[in-house]
Amino acid sequence: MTRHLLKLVWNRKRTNALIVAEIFISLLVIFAVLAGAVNFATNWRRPLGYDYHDVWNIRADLEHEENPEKNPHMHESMMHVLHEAQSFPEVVAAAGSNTPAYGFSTDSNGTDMNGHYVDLIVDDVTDDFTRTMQLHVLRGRFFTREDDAAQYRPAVVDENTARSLFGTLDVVGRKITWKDTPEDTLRIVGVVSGYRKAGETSDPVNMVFRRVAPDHKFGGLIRNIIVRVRPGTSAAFEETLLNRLQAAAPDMSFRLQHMDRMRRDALRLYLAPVVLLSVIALFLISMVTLGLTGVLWQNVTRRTREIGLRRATGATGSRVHRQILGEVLLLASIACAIGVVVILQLPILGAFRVVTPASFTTGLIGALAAIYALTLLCGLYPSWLASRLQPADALRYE
Amino acid sequence: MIKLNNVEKVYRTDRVETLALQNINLDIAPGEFVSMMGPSGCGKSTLLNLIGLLDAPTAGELELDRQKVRGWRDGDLARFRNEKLGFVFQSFHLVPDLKVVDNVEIPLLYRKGSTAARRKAAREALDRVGLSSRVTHFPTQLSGGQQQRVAIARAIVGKPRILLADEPTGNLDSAMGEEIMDILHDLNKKDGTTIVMVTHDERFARRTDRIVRLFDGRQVA
Ligand SMILES: Nc1ncnc2c1ncn2[C@@H]1O[C@H](COP(=O)(O)OP(=O)(O)OP(=O)(O)O)[C@@H](O)[C@H]1O
Ligand SMILES: [Mg+2]
Repeated sequence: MTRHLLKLVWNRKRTNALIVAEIFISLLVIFAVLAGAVNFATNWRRPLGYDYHDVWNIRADLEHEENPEKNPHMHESMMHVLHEAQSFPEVVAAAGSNTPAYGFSTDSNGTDMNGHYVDLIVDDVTDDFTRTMQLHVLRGRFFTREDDAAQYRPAVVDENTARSLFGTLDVVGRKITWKDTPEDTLRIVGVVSGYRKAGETSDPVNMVFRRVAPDHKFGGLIRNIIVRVRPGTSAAFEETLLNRLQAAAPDMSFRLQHMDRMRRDALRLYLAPVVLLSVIALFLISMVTLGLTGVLWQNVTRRTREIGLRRATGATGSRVHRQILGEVLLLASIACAIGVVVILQLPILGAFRVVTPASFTTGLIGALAAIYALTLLCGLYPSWLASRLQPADALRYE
Repeated sequence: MIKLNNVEKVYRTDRVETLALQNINLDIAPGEFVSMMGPSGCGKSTLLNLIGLLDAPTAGELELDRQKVRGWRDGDLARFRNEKLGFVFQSFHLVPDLKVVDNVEIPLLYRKGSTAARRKAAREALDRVGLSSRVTHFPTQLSGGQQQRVAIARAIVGKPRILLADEPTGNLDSAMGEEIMDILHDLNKKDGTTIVMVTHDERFARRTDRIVRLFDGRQVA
């Protein structure tokens, strides 16, 4: 019977190619949506590595900025401002950070490790950063005044970086060198748990914190003051704080944002296209479902006489039912086979930069299951109709 | 072989009730070749469908191969059709997407047997109707007479005891009709197949053992 079905499907290749194409496209769409959704869900549940509640981010800009990087005055002013911020009783902790969490700028870098390139995200921070953002130190320690005498620039990495660079080895005391600027060699003093700078929607990244010393020994730039305030601190304190900072650095301008607000904005920016795409995908899939049901239904109608003939020669109603479903599933399998081959090429095109391999696999398996469920659903009604046909009526059908 | 006792068939649609057959009594012996005649709409196809278990009578009794057909389920009906009955239709009813040999094999798909055995039986049946050279053609590549011969091969491939033919020559010119009739007579003589054939052609009817005449749903001879 399987051979018979194969022959039937093959000899009807023109009609069937259309159905296969529809199923194939649905598979791709469902795969994309599922892989994205699974990736989103896993990321959402993953720990962030820090706490954004009661954190304010104050962005500082020089009024007549030329090249802040080269401007020693900027560093001095920032350290001064930081000191001022720390003096308030409402402030639990404050630190400097160049590219803070939920901010739109990111310092991407990379290094060669044993012949393969590792992507790294870098932030320049001051000693109190771990208290301000409430990082979890896993091994070693975060930056302290102890580092003032360091020979190499001190660095703290997160667990992902530690694993990517050194595997399971203990990384405290090891060095990271940059390909282009070997003189900027870092020496790791501690490991914190995975820190996802871009927030809940981000895949795990490799994070490296570099110390910005009070005396600016190894350089580094901080453009933001991160302030952790006591829970319940009133909005009125914002103004008090900003006024004091402004007085401390008159040639700078400050902009204060609550980090949970920054988080909300970042989420919105991320979700808008995702929601739009999902709606389009949903629409597409419902169109395909309807279309497929229509095509399969028409297929049954067109073959009414064939069905009558099969009944006359000894097929039971349920046999006809199974045959029609079998044909549909066969077409689904062909589409899925093509789809899997195509989808397995996607990692070459960089799919793993969009979703993790685990989400990719789950998405693929889920999409295959969904396609079979969908085609089964689409085929159920037409094949039920087919099985209900009375043989005599079916044979007379014009 | 075929016994009908007071058989009646009423078609009920939303508004109309058609009494297609009434009070039909028939007794056809094994190996008999019976032709059925009558004007269009008198119920010939209806009667043939009842005998072929493609439709159920509204009243009366039907006995086939010494078995009373009563309370049979879909599975029982299908098995009986598969093992004991063969059908030939005026419009051939070949599956256009299947090659000749695959068309002939269809009844064998619904019973046990190997692929090789099916293939062999199909070739033998095609041989029987003189079409061994057209095995891998598609139905549309054949003439009407050839298509009907394929349909006969399909009807006999499962070696049925009863062959039911509804105007098998209706779509064919008289030369091709003769060929088909020769094949049917050959099956009747050599295999002892019981045949019931609906026809509008007196010449073909006269060559059979008996003529049953219907008029307006009633048996008149
Ligand atoms: N499915 C059906 N529903 C309602 N009425 C039907 C149905 N099938 C047949 N009839 C009616 O039953 C009667 C007998 O029809 P049948 O097809 O048996 O005639 P026939 O003798 O085979 O005619 P022909 O020589 O034209 O093939 C006709 O009046 C027809 O309209
Ligand atoms: Mg008729």
